[in-house]
Parts: sequence; structure tokens; C-alpha cells
Amino acid sequence: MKGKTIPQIDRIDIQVIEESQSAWLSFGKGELDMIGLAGQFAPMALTGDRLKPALIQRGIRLDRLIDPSIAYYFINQQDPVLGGMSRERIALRRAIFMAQNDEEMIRVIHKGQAFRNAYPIPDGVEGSDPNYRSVLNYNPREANHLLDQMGYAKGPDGYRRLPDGKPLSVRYTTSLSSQDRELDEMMKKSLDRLSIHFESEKLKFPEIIKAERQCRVQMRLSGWIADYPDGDNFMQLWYGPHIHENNGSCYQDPVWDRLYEKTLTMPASLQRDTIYRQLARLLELNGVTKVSTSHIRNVLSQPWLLGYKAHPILPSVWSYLDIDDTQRPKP
Amino acid sequence: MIAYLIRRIWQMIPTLLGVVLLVFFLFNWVGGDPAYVLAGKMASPEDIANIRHQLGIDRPLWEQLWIFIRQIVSGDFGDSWSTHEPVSQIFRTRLGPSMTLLIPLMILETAVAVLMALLVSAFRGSLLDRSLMVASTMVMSISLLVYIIVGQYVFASVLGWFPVKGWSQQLSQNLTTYAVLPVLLGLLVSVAPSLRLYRTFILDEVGQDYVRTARAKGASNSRVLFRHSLRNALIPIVTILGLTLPGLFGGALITETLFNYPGMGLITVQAVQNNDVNTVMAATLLIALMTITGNLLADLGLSFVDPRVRLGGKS
Repeated sequence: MKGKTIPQIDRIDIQVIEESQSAWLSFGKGELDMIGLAGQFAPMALTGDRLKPALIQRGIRLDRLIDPSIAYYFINQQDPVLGGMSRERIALRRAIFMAQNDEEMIRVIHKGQAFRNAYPIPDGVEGSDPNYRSVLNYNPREANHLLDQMGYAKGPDGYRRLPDGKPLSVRYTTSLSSQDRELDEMMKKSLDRLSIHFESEKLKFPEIIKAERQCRVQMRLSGWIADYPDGDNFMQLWYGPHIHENNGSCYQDPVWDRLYEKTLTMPASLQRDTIYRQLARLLELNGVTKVSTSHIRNVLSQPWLLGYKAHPILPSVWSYLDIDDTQRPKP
Repeated sequence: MIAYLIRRIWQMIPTLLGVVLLVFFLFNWVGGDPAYVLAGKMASPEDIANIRHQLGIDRPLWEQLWIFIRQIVSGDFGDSWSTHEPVSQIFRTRLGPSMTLLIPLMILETAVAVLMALLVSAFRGSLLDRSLMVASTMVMSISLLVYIIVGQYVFASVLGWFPVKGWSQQLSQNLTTYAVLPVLLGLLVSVAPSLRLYRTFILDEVGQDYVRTARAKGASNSRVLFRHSLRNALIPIVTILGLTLPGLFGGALITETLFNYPGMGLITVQAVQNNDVNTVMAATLLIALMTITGNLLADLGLSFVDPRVRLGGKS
């Protein structure tokens, strides 16, 4: 693109293709110039983190970067069954989080295009901590032990009950997509490890957001991608005054809020990072959230597409692109 | 005929009113609230309240119903809640692509199903008849979704006979290039039930006394089939054809989504996913209107195929 004025392309045709198979086959035939690779097709295009030789031979390029995003489980702190700050409830939530097998999630759902990230601030965002060690790693044995200790005894049906003998079940909210059906199956498996009844709540995405903001979601795997590359964009997800906004876990803790408010007056610094670590630890200890994974973004482009460079936050790369018509197949 | 048409159109009004009420209350009940998504990631409750106010969904139900009826009468359904494009504009631009798929499909399906039904009726009980009936049952047992996924892979990706997906601004290119695979796959699925049904209609006629009389008078097989049996079998076929168009639209939801075809089907699916109730309600009304109009066209068609039917007069 050196020496060229921008933009070089008169018309950009952005196609929202609902079915990833259509997108993948269409790209394979050269009908699309570039494509964001859906996770399910990663095994067909990639070996590990490299493009398959057949695609390299065709001149196809891979741009791969870590998305500044997190996928995190949260439990509604105002929920009458799972919420509250008693020792039993905190233990129950921590046990549920410890039954989630993140590695299996990466393998089965994301086809390897994600990695375990326990810290609320992802890589590439100011304030991230690659050395953070979670206390909520996958450990079903420890989780069961915790529940036994706290009086969540099993009933005659083999499933655990609340310490007061009332039935216990976890309602997990997901959307109607096929990937979310897989998430349901994984959650069912996780709760079976603890002998806890699983309930599925299926809602359309806008309804999930509404329910979340009204503190009606009991448990969900949510996601957040950076709007700006600073840790505050992620930590605000658990700030008390953000209940009914982005604080889907409806978590309100004066200690946490005071610490967070302190960071608002601080520049990005080691001191602020120290407080962020305290905040992250409190979220785990109180059984509010478990950060599960961060995702890898794979963008494939045809040999005739020039000038593409993936950017973690800026989505508008269009003005920097050009097409080499001599290489592009004629329709 | 004109008097009959006016009477039928007049009769459509209470039916449409019933549909309007049903659509309105149904979507108010299950339609959901799009304000939470439209407000974006960092929205406050005030932002959401503002959006609800802009969309008019904070008003009393009767007021919303009145607005909806006014929109229908004026043909202006307001703006899409998710794209902010006028709904009437969406329909204007999306109806063409859908018809590029649906009209060829309907014509081909009718022609192929009728011809094949005549063929198997002529050889009733033969190996050809039984093989086609078994094949029809097998074809009907598999979902359109499977045909499209396999068809895209085999015919478009591996063999390269068709594009995987796409759409052009030129009608001729769409008809000869982009619509071919979706239409052929749609035909594969829709022709089987029609064939079985039309075969029954034709066989019913083949067993009638007038056919026996025609044969006794020395009429050839083809004359008996085309001149006598088919003309009478066309009566139920035309009735069914009138009801086919809305059914085809249902298939377009899947076909257009998988072929990324910018028609009514794709926009309806996207509107449902985005809780774009304005667009979904308008699309539902359009399908209802297509059903009622299809019925009317079928009745009008009957008067052409059956001389005994006299619309608006004594039969």
C-alpha cells in the first residue's frame, strides 16, 4: 500500500452470513476476499496455530491475534437460591465454578481457538496480569468436598439439596444458537459432577440482556470485548452502581466498590494493577464470577487482497485495503 | 366477475382485521423488548427508557394498536427497530430477490409434479410408479436444511457448477447463476409431496365412468390423460396451488438464510433474532395477505379450469 492514496476500493461489501458453512465454502471458492474464521471451521483451516499447507499453497494468508475479550461465568448475587454472602452460599458458588472444565470448553466449543485466562483483564489490555493464578481452577473433587462440608447433602434421588433440605437446582441461561446448545450440555455435565440438578433457560439474545439487567438471570456464561484498551473497561462489570447496566452478576460489595473507585482516580500504574489484583481475587473468593477463557481471532484473506492487518480493537480497516485484480479470479 | 371480486375483497377485511389483532397481541406477548440491545453495551436505565420512548413501546397497548392499524392502512410500517431503515423500503428491496427464487420454483414445481403425476398414473402399479413413490417418500423424509448443506458442498464447492451463495443486481444473472442451485434444491424437496398428491387426484379421475366411456369410444391413452383426466384433476390442483405461495415463503426462510440471499426470508430471520418486532409484524401480515390473495386467485383460477364454476352468478 506504500505510496497509494486511501481509500483504494470504491465499494466494500460486508456480508452478514448467518451460516458459517456458507461463508467457509464461499471463501474457499474465492467468492469472498476475506473471512473471520468461525471456530467450528478452525480444524479445517489450521494445524495448531498455523495455516494448513493446502491453503498456504493457494496463497491464502492468516492473520491471528488474541481478542481483547473474556468469557466469564457469573452467578446472580441477588438470586434467592444461589445469591447472598453467607458461607454456605459462597461455598456453593465456588463449587459450581470449580466444576467447570475450561480446557474441555476450549477443545469442544472453541476447537482450540481460545485459551484459559482467569484474570478479568485480558492480554493486550492495560492492567492485564498473565501471571495471575486462579483459586477457582477445575477441581470437581475439591468442589464436592466443599459442598459436603457445607451441608449440601444428597437426597434419595442422588442429587444434592440445600442445607435446609430444600431442593437445589441451577438455572443456566443461554440463547437459542447451536453453540449455546453445546454450552448447555457442558453445563449439565459440570453440574452432574456435583450431583446438582440442571435447568436450562433458553432466551433470545435481547431477552437475555434484558433479564440480566433486571437481575433475573441466575447463572450465565457471558462475554466482554474491550471498547478501549484499559482494564477499567472490564473491572466496571462488577461495580455496584452498574447493577441494571453491565453488572450482570448484580454484585454489590462496599469493600469492592471502594477499591474500584480508588482505581478511577489513578493512572495506569503498578499501584493500580495491585488493586486490580485484589479486586479480581475478591470476585473469586466471594464466588461472584469465574473468568474462563479469552479467544483467538483468525482472519483469512485471499492472495489478491492487499494491505490487511488485523487490529485488536479498531474494526474499520477498510480504507487501508486494496485488491490486485490481476490475481483475482474472473467471475 | 367484477361483483364477485369486490365481494371477496370486502370479505377479506374482517379476516385481515382478525389477523392484525392476532399478530399485534401475539408479538406484544412474545416479541420481546429490543431497547436493551439497541442501547448498546454501556447503556444506563435512562438510555434504555429513552429508546423505549422513541420506539413507542412505553405507550398504552391500545395506543400502540391504533398506531399499528394506521401504519397498515397507510402502508408505512415505520422504521426497522434494528436497522432504522423504513420497513416499506426493506420490503421493496427484498421482495424482488425472494420472487426471483419463489416464482421459478413454483412454476417448475407445478410443471414437474403434474407431468410426473401423469406419467406414473399412465403406468400405475408399474415398477416406475412404485420406484417414484418410494423415492418421493425418501426425499420427503429429509429436511431441506440437509439438502442445502450437502448441495452447497457437492455442487457448488466440490464440482463448482454453481456459486455457493450470492446475488447480483441483474435479474438475468440471478436467474441463470445465483438462483439455480437454491431453486433446484427447493424443487427436489417440494416436488415429492406435490407428486404424490397430484397422482392421487389424477388416479381418482382415471377411475371415473367418463374416462371408461372415453376409452370405450376408442380415445387414446394420451387423449384420456391430457384431455379428460387432467382437466378434472386440475380443479383440486389449482386450489392447492393457491395455498402454495405462503408455504414456499416458509421454505425461503431456510433457503435465503443458507444462500445469504437478500430476500424477505433472510430479513425476517434476522428481524426475529434482533427482536425487530416492527419488521416481523409487517412480514407476518404480508404472509397472511399472500395466503388470502392465494385463496382468491385459486377461486378465480377454478372458473377457468372448470366451466361449471360461475363466479358471482348461478352455477
